[in-house]
Amino acid sequence: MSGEIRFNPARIRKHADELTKDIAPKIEKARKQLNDDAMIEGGDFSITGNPASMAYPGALQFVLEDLGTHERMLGEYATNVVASANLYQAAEEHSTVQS
Amino acid sequence: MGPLAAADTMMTVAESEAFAAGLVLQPAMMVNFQFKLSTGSPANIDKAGQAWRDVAQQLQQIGLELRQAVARVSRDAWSADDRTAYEQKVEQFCAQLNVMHAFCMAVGVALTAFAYALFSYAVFAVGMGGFLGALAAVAAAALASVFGAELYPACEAIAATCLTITTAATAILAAAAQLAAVAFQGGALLSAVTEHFRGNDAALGDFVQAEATGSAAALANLSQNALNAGLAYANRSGGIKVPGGGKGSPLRSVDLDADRDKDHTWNVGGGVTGKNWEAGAHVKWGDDGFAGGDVKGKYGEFGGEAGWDHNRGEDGYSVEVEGGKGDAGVTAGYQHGRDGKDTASGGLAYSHENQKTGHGGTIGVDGKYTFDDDSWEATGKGGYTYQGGEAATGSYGVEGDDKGVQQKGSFESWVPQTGDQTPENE
Repeated sequence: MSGEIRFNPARIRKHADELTKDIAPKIEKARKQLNDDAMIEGGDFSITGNPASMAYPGALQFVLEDLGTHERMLGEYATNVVASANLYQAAEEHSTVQS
Repeated sequence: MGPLAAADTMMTVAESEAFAAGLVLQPAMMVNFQFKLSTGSPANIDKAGQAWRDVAQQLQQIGLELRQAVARVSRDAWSADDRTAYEQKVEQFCAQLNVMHAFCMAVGVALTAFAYALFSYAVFAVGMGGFLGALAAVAAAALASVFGAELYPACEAIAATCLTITTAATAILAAAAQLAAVAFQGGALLSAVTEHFRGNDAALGDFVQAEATGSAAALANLSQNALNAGLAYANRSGGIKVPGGGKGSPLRSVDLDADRDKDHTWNVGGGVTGKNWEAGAHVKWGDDGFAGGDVKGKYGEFGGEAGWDHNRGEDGYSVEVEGGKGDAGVTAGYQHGRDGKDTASGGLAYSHENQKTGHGGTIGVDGKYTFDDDSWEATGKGGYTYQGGEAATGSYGVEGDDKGVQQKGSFESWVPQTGDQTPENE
């Protein structure tokens, strides 16, 4: 970093929008697809395949939880990015008044 | 429905064949019981596997789009220390998505591999059912003194061997289920640990939460299968212990290892050891993302392995299970080549002669599924030997496609034991 600070609050906010309105819904779509298409009834594994039918729900649930976490993380990133933009804007307004 | 739906037909054919044979030969009834235990829905499992692999691709794409979205914010629009910190967060996020990509891929492949293990079992079962049908015909004729009633015990002994072999095949299917279980549970734990080290503090919590939530569903599956096993057992004729499946083996130990090689490829693996089985799995990913993996396992005297590689967006994978017990050997396999060609096969071979009586038998069952034209076929061949010489042979074939099931070339040949005269039937 050269130490020089440049910023465009509107552009930074637009990026935060992309996180919540563009990227996060795609993660939700992936979650929904697993939720809809990857449910397997225990009997489908056959009785002999019982170990697999016991372990499978945990694997599915783990991914659903994990993707949920990542969706929330994007929301937190967006909040922080917007906070930065607000901070820059406030600083800019201050300096504009003072100059 | 895809080709895997043929498994339903094959298992139905196999069960009815084994049931009919069981009316004449008692051990065949137990074979029928195992067929009932091992009838699943490979088509549904493969469909879920496809969904997992599809989601895996989406996760990779999401990571790419996120990086691009950050890069599109020009340095003129945002250039400060907090951007650098943010970019590091995004990189960690994408690395975590990569882990999930690998895990989803592993589960997707494990599901499809198990679907084909079930399918290979169906191919095996229909061949075995056909063989038992032919054997029962011989036994019935023996009882009617066409060949001489003294041959009936020999037929029953061969049927008992068929039961042993079916038990072995069922054990292999159970081992395949253990392998899949390792990919599901072990894979989830590995992913949680790896994500944790890649900056996701929530990953381990998610795993614990998933185990808690998932175990409710797991218990539901267990009760359902226990109930169905009871029903299948009640419907059998005779008494036998449930082989292979049923209870899971108690966990003895869990090993985790993770390392990164000189080509920047992470190799994360885990091993699990049970009472009479052990299994391990590895997932690899390099700078370009998911690179492949392997699953290996041993169940008593039976072993199996599955491997896949991922290159330029194309996946190739294969699963092989084989085992032997005494005079018998069984194989089942499935390959999906990167050229898009798929093959599935299953078979067994057995030969044994009772040293005291001189009576013996040979059995061969082979089945294969051709994906180009969705057709399948299975043949069972058997021989009755006396003091090393081939006294009789029988063979049976059944094949089917999307139009139906044909019993083609079904015949038996039964010749007097006359030294060199050995009939060959193909």
